[in-house]
Amino acid sequence: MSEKINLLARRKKNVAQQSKSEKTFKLVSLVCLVLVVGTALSLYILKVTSALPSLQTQEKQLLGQLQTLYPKTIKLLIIKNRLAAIGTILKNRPDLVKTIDIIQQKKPQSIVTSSFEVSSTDVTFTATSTSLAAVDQYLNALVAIANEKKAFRSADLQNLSLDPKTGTYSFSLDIGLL
Amino acid sequence: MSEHISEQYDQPIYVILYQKYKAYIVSCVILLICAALVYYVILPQYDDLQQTWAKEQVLRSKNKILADNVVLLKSLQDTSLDSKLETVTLALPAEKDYAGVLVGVPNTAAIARTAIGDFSFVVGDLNTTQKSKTEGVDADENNISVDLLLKGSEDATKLFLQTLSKVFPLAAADNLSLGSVDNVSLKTKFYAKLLPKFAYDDEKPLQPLTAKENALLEQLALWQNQNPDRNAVPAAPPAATPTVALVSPTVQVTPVISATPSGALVR
Repeated sequence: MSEKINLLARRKKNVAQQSKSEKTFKLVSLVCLVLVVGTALSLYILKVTSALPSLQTQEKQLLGQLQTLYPKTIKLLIIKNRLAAIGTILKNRPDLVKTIDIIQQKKPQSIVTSSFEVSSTDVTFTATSTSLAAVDQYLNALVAIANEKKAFRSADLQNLSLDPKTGTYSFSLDIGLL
Repeated sequence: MSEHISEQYDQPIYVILYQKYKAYIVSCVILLICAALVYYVILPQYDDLQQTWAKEQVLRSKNKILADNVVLLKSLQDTSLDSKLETVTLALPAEKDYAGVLVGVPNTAAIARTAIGDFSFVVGDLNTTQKSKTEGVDADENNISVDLLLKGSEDATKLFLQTLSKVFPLAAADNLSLGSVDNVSLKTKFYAKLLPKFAYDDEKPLQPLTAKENALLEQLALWQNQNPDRNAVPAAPPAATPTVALVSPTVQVTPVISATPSGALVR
C-alpha cells in the first residue's frame, strides 16, 4: 500500500533503472565505435603495408630482363615449333623402302617383277614366273601378311594369266597399305 | 516548486524529450555514425583490400612465371640455340628452299650411285610469307614436289630413298614406279612450312626442350652432318648435269635454269 502511495520511492527506482539502461546503451555504442574505428584503421594499415607495389616493381624489372632476352625467346619458340612439325612429318611420311622390303622379302627367286608401283596408300605390281607353285607360295605369303593387318590392309589379285607358248604365269596384285 | 515545474513544462516538447532521452540520443547518433562508417568506409575498404590481395596473388604467380622464364632463357647458350635453330630451319624451312632441292637431289643420287635424269619442279609463289590462312588446312605448307627419273638397280633405288629420307630440307617419296629396265620414276616432296605468328604471352611459362625434342635434334644434327655444305662444291652425280625447270606463276623467273656440277646456276 505504501509503495502505491509513496510516489518518490517508485520514481527513484525508475531513475535507477533508466540510468542503468542508459549506461548499457552508451557502453554498447562506444564499443561499436571503438570496433569500427579499429577495423577501419586495421584495414588501412593492411592496405598500406600491402606487397603490391613491390610486386609491381619486381614485375617491371622481370619484364625489362625478358625484353633483353626476347631474341632468345623467339629462337626457342621457333625451334619448338619446327621440332613439333618435323616430328609430325617424320611420323607420317611414307616409308616406301619398308614397303618394298616386305613385299620383296617373301618373293621366291623364280618370280620376276615386271612393273612395280608404290604410293603412300597402295602397291600395284605385275610379276611373271614359270612356276605356278612359286606364284601360289608368294600369293599365300602376301595374303598372310594382309591377314595380320600389320603392314597391309588388303591384297587383291587383279589378274592371273598363263601364256601357253612360253609356259609363263603372269599376275597383277593390288596391295592396300595401312 | 510549482514555479519550477511550470518553467520546466513551459519549454517545447522536443527540448523536454531531448533532456529526458539525451543519453540515448547521443548513443543512437554514435551507432548511426558507426553504421555509416561500416557502410561507407569499412565495406569499400574491405573490398579494395580483397582486390589488392587478389592482384597480389595474380602478380605473385605471374612474377614466378616471369622469373622462371628469365632463368630458363639465361640458361640457354646463344651459340647452342643458334646451331639448333639452323638445324631445324634447314630441315624444315619456312619458305620454299629450291636451292636445298638443287643441292640435295644430285647429292643423294651420288651417294646412292644412281643416275638421275632431268628433273623439274614447280616453285610457285615465292612470296609465301604473305600466304593467306584461308587457302586451306595445309595453307601453311610450302612443299615443293619434284618428279625424278632414276636409273639404277633396286638396291640403288632403296639406298636413294634411304638417303633422301635424311636430306635437308626433309623430303618424302610419295610414289615410286619401277619399270622393267631399272627405270624408276619417283615423285618426291620437299617439305617447307610457314612459321606461325608467335603470340608471346608473358603469363605463359616457356617450356624448355624436352628429352624427346633433344633426341630429335640430335638425330637431325646427325643428318645435317651427312648433308653437303651448300657453299661447298657438291659431289658430281653419275648422270649428266640435270636441267631444272623453275616455273613460277607470279614471279618472273627465267623458265629454264641449268645447274652446273659446281652448284652455280646458269641462265
